[in-house]
Amino acid sequence: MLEIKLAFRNILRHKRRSLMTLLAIMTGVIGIVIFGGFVEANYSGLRESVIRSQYGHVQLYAPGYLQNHRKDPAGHRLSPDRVDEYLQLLESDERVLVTTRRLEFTGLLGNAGTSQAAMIRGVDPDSESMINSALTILEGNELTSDDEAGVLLGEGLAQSLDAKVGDELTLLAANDDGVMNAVDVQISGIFRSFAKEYDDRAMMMNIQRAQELLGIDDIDQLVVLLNYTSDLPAFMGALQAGANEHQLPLEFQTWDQMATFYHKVVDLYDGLFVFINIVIIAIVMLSIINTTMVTVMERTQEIGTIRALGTRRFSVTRQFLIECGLLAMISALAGVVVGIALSLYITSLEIMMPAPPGSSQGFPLRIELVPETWLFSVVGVVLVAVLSAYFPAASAARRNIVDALRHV
Amino acid sequence: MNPIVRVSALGKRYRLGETEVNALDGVTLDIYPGESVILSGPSGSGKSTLLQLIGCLDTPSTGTVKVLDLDTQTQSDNALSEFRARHMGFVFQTFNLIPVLSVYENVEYPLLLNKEPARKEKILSILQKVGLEKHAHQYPNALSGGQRQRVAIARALVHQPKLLIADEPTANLDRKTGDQVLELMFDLANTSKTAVVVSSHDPKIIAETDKRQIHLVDGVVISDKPVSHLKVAGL
Repeated sequence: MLEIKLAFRNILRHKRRSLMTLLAIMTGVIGIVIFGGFVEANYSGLRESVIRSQYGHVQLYAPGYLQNHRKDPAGHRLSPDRVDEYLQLLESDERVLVTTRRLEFTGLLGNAGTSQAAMIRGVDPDSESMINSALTILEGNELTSDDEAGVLLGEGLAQSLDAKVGDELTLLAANDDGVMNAVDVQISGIFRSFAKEYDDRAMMMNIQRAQELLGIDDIDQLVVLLNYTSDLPAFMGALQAGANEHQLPLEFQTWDQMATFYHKVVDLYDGLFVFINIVIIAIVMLSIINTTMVTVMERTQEIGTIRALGTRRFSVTRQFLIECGLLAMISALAGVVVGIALSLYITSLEIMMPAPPGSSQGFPLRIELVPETWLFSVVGVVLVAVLSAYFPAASAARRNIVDALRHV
Repeated sequence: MNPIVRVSALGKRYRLGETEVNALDGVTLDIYPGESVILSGPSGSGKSTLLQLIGCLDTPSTGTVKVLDLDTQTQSDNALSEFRARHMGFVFQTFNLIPVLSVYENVEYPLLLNKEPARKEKILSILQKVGLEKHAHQYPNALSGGQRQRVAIARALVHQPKLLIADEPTANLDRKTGDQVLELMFDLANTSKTAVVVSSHDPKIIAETDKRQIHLVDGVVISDKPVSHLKVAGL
């Protein structure tokens, strides 16, 4: 109790010095809170974009699909019967928001002037629109199930074909026997996803028309979208158990396994976050070391006095550590409060950020409130402060009492 | 009666650059419980060094110091800290109060170190004795020099130590205040049966005291007698 009282009063004793230290630490903590919130907002925004514009949460395939579908697509598709079995399993799970079928292949898309290789995705328009909720339709309309000839073109692909909504194109693709088939399609809309590379080559069409083109009734993927991304681990556990129970072969990928772009961005931001944390830790350390050294020097005679009165060395050290820890804690808490206020304010401004590398869309600047970051910054800053103060404080406590008493 | 302090052939050497200084050389003396002793001598005679060694604040280069039969050289720093907290009180020339603690809290400090119960009664009682009960909640910087030294005396005696060490306690006070402080210190120590060792180079104090007086010159005890003997010897 005495130590806390002494710590508080000594902090207030040199108001200007304490204020400077407080401002330095506060600034660092505000940086952690805002940048941590920015990073988290980017992670969650990008994660949901990736999930809801392309991958879904989980994709189910026929056995061997992942390894062999490129060289033998015909032998690694899901038959309608198997799809029904999976659907029965999935329908009973309340975590599932929607499932959709996909058939993917490459083809040649052309008009009178030019032709382009395209990645074609056959989709169920109604359910796909729920999974692809992060797609932006730039022109025209989304696909509908009754518009058999309608297609959606990625922005880049439409530009390279100099095509616009309503134009007719010819799609050429080889069936499983290697025979080239052709169908006429009409552009219903032009879309933009989060990935420019994808938009440069992608086309979506009604899955039934795609199956007709390839002369099959199988599909490549059954895509599952959950209500919440946080449900994924529990859902996967239940899916595995259900598949085992019904002796269904299960080959799958979660969004996490597919989204290499997401992981690159996470790695980049994690690196930046570590760097910023190191800079902030250095600021805190220097501030605390400087404050402690000046304080120790000023209070040398006081240290000598309390040692003479019978205070142990460790108690003297502890006194300084409590003082620095308390100052750091007050500063960090103030930093968290100001950081939260600034985060809310910055988010409310709705500033648009430029498109990140590899992406075609800018995004609104959001700072998420991340309690884990607040806790980390307060605990981290207090620990760093206490560690930084230890050596000057311990050195003061070890000082010869007689020399300390003589200090002026 | 066993002495409370037993100093035998005590020597203390310091290095000042390349020169070795003999601050104390072969000092031997005993101090008894309740006894009041004035260490006199000119500046640099070794008074403060002797007080520091008796007060377990420093270790001798040669010889031994025993306080309450405790050989101070064989004790750990923690043991000596605890020993000082329990059995000793200190009054310094520059008062050395803790500036962020009130008068009450400064006096409470030794009691907290000793984890003593019923602190309030003891503190108020000693503050009354030093005439500062009305200043209990003031801070040292609001007090005069004489008041601060009275707080220091209260702090030094509140836990009823066996030995009070006072290094030039009147040096920063005017004559009248110094006399009052000294008288108060001896009176309180006498009441609590605390032995007192005070250093001073003030000729008036030395001349007027009726206490035992140990005169040091160049680190050597040249006299250990009542003041009248020194006067006769012309010292």
